[in-house]
Amino acid sequence: MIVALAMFAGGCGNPGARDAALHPPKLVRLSDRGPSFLAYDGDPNLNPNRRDWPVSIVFAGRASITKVKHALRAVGLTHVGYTHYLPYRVGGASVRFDGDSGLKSGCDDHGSDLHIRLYAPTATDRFIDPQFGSFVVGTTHIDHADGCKVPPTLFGFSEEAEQRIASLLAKRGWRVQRNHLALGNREPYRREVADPVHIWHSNGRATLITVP
Amino acid sequence: MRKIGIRVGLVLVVAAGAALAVPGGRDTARNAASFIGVVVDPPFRLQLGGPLWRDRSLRGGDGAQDFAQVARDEPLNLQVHGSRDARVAQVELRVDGRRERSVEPRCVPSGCPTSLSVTFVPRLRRLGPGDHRIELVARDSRARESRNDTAPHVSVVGFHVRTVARVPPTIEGNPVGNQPRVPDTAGLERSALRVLAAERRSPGLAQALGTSRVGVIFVGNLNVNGQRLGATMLVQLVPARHNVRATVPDYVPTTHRAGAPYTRQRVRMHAKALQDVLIDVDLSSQRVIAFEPGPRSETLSWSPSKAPAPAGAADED
Repeated sequence: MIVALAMFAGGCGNPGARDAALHPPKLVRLSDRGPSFLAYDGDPNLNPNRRDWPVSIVFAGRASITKVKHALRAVGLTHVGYTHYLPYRVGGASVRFDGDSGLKSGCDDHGSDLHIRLYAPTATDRFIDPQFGSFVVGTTHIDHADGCKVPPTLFGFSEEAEQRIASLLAKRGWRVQRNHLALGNREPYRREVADPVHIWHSNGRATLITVP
Repeated sequence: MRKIGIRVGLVLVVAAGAALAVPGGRDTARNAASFIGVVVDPPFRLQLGGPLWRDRSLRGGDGAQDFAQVARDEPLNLQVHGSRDARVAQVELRVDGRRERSVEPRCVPSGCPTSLSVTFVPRLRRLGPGDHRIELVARDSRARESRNDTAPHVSVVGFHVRTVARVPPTIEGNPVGNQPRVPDTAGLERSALRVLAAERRSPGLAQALGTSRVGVIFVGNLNVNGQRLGATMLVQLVPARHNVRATVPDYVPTTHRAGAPYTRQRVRMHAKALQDVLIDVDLSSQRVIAFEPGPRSETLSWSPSKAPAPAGAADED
């Protein structure tokens, strides 16, 4: 697989950076002729210090937002969350931002839930890549004490959330290839004092799930 | 007479070939973005295209926006199609409700043309950054100069675009292959565990940890503005602890740039089950500054002395 990169000019780890990715966020492609997307979601801008979570799941094959969300609802992710945005670019067009509030599971006994946001061009409901087919990308994390149970509230653990969602969809019969795509968005386990509720953790290798 | 039963349909068609379903090569992605919009609002059928139409804002199924950042004046192509009974006498461009341009085709005694093609370039750069409404109004000769958009003989289509002062530049990079090497955190872990071992006899941590063994699941940097202040750990308690009441350390981030990055506080905690714990260690002061139940623990009460929740929680989730 070839992952071509485009990098947004801008710093990372700047003083005052509260939600900065480890490295400047990058536009990545699944193949060299495919559309590109930022490897992180976040605020509706390109500010490298306002990122939320790294892309950790790619649904490919015959994926569309509608189809993947339908499957996720069927495995229990029926709640919605707060909207974030993922920048993307198709062909030579301008960079666009797709917003999604995502789908969440209900809270478990510990007060934790799974949250996944899915992104693709709204106009087509999917990206189209010559090698990977119709695909959508997802960011994942765990919300803890987010509107249920008792604080302390925490958000993060993307790697753990990625694995849990992959397991849920594997039970549906979808082909799951864990940690298959290197997207250059590794986030070692870390925390920023200015925003301690945000726990970064992702190995930078997205799980590839093939949608039939 | 008011127009009854305005029929507005937005039809998206692919400009050059059916590219949606088949991933077929270099042009596929470009074609998929090159939509033409067709709006049927009697008496006319309005067909829109061009860069500004491509860059319009959309809304997804959950209501969230999908928008482009427009930093320059972009062309908007419009084709108005009428009939023998509905001829194009006037086409108007409005930006944020104000008429910016009006086009009136040459009409002959037998009537105005049944179709018209025009390219507008709305002057968006002069407007402030933000969302702007673009409207196109087509009228036949019976509605010329009518200010009523819902009147018969008037067709209207509108959409939003988001403008910005400047689109951030992009720098093309090189293809990447292997992952960067993962830094060794063994030293960081040893340092953090040393501080924890020295502090776990303090009353709060002694109550919280009891005699359980602490197993490190993850360890990484606790940062201030991207620079390491200490260590943050997710640890497992073996065995897990139940019905734990303790007063544990925690902190509140400070908002001012100078001085200490946090203010210490104490939290009275009652946990039904403590299976995992987040522990933050300030290695400069050699102190445990946070002890919080992890995502596999269950807390019954959490009463901070200073703040109910750390700053920054509002835009998370």
